[in-house]
Amino acid sequence: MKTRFFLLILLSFSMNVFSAPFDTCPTKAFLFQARPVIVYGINLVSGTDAILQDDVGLLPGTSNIGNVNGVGFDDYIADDGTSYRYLYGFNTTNLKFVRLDSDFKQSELTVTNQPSGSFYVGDVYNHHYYFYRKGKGFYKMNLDEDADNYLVIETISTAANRNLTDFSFHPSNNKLYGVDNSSGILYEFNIENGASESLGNTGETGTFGAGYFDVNGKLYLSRNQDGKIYRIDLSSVDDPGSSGPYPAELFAQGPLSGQNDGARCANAPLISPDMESTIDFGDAPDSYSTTLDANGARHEIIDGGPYLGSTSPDGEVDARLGILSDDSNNDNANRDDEDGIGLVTGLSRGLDNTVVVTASQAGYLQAWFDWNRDGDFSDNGEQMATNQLLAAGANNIVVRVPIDADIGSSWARFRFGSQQDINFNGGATDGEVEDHQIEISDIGVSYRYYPENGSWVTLAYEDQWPIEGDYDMNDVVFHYRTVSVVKDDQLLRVDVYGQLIAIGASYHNGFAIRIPDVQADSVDTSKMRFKHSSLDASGNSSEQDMGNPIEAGSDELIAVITQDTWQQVDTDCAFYRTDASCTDHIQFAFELSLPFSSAQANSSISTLYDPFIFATSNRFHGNYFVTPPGRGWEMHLADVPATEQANSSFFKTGQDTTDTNTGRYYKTNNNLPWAMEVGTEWKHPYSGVDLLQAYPDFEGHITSNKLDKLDWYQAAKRVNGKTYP
Amino acid sequence: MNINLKSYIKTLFAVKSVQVTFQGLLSICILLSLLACQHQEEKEADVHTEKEATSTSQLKALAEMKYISHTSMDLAVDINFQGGGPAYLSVYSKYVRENNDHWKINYDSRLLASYMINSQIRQEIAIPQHLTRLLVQVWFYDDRAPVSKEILIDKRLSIQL
Repeated sequence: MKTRFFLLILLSFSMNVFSAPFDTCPTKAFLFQARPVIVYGINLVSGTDAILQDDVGLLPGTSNIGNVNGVGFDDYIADDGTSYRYLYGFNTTNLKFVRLDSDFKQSELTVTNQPSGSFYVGDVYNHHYYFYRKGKGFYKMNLDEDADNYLVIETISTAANRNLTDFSFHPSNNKLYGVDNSSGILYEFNIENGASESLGNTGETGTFGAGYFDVNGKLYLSRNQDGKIYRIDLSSVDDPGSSGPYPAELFAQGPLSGQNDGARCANAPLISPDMESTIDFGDAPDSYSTTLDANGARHEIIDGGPYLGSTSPDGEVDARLGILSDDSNNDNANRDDEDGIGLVTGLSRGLDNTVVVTASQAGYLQAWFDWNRDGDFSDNGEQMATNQLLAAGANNIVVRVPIDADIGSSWARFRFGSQQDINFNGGATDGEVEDHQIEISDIGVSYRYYPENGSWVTLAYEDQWPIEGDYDMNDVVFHYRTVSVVKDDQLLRVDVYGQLIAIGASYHNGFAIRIPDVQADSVDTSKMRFKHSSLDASGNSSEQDMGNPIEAGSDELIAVITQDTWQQVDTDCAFYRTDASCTDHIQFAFELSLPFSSAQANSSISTLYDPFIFATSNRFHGNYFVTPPGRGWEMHLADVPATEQANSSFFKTGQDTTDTNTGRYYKTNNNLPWAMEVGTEWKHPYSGVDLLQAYPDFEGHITSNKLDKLDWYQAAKRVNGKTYP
Repeated sequence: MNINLKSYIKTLFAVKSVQVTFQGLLSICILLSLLACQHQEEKEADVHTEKEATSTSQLKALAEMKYISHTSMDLAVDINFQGGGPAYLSVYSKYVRENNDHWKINYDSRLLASYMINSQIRQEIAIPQHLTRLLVQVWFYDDRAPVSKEILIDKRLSIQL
């Protein structure tokens, strides 16, 4: 007897020990379906699913595992730190309330005042389980084991008129939301009295058996009939003046389901920033639907799955836009995986142009081109490939550019994978998306890239002029690239791209670009483009149209990119990206396009044009200057003339030996510079590290008058440990 | 020559049997001359060592030095043998020739993209100075296969495809 009693205690104890709660608020959505119930994990971002548990276990005294429905996730941590993170639901076969642990094993809850019948709609909030059935009522029970009313069911309301198959708690406002399957109307429920308020029609009907919220207040609904996952943005539902309707947008394609229900920890983001992401995003500006918030094009990366090019995609927590993308060397761990598309004939209007698409294996291609350059892919005639079956290797596809396409820079999107019928936005269960900046042109146009259309040179400035600097060449450092658009040997347009790489100085400097021999009023400002791209510490990227950068008061064409580089970065370090002990991402980039109203002379075609820094107005720029020198202080590449705004009284002072009569500018007595261009994505020296210490071959290059050591700046020639990684 | 001439001279005078004769004086003069040469060699060695700069500020460049890292190339391409244009010319810097003679190209390494109306084209392109070779490729707007040619970078180059 004692032995049996002891064994009973031991068995009971062991059951509790193995009934472990979740130790985190997981990002996955859980889908319960079928009888006997199977538990799936759904990645809402891509729609992929995986079985997590196919045997939730028998309840005592039953012979059928049954179906579990009305499930909710309890994200409750007690004051003493004990986790009570379990799933709660209703076993519709055995008519029992159940709790499921982190292994999705069900155990019966002994409740009081249980209403009759089955329940399919439920969720958890504040350690209380709420459940509902149309025509029956709206109920709740306390899940606190220490409470007097633990597992005592209370009736909130007997008025239950909405045709719901699930509802979900918003993470921020303690309200429930569900969509009426028949009408498609979104309802908000008051959990105190059960009252429901219509928030308008979502535009979709069907059996929405599973509903989930994310931490940002976005509601996701899975439709049983076709597995489509819709997203409804309720992030600002409580903002003053906010009112419906709140439309449902197609977000991803999930599994077909029946007798299902869903639950998710609403306080979790869709993609955990603490884990390696398996989602590939595009890079186009967000008007093309690129970020997760914009329901951007995204693909789950599957081992052995299909992709474009020869480099498999790397995962991202969210899209990084444009030239701040992870492919632009913004994280050394990331790789450039945008290698699957070759626009080998350009995109000339009216012609059938060839695009070489390289696929890792057979799959389906969708492709869109923004022909009218309005910032989206949703116009008629912009999808140029639909479910096009590709073979492994190089595939030549023909793209006819409309004769009325708008000339200039634009974007194209290519999506490849095993799924068909995917749109330019939304999730996909495998494959890759590649966004490419394109040039739509007329016949006869040439594009001269420096250094290349997808890489950078580096501009390095010292800012203590006219005092000789310390030659660590990192006071201001930019990655830089130009495109000269030429026709009949005349300059039609100049495009310039740049990334701010480092600020190794406390002085404040602006950055500008002069187009020599071109007047400021030559630009067709109606077609001019100027954008800033930013990346914050959390990895959120944004783009801004910056209006007209042309410097007022200058006859020459000078475009001011920024008045103060320090205003473009946010760092806890003393300097930006020059110190070994303090690192930052690249945070600022720009794009500038200067089309001319009429073609400019051949003599105006250049390589670098004239990028220069200047002192920010009203900012201290060294004890050498009694008052801040402001705009009149400029630093150009050696022997490049100053602009009309430069203060010539600074010449021939300090160590400067400028002689405007001979065309000599910004050099010391030893003919050394304060600025230089390096022909690659150069790793600049750490703060205070002399250039020669990091790149010893620079000496031989200079003493041979550039006849020798042409590759002095390459990776193989630098000294380890002397340059910023 | 690494003779300790000073010690040698000291040794000479230490030997009491040395007589100051004309021959002795001549020996001393020769020794002194050798001593001067050695000092000169040491001085030249010091100058040679001092020429290896340890900081950039010690460098001295020529007056015409430009601190840029690109060169220019005048490229002329003739596709008459291919039947002429219209065609599209591209020049790339990153590419690999695969076993089957196929060129695997990094399409982000394009230096020049140009429509060709006629059979010939001439373009000036800027090239990072560390590059030595480029790939020229021409595609057509009909069924003709593309043609490619790897070139050595030169100030002025004319090629026929």
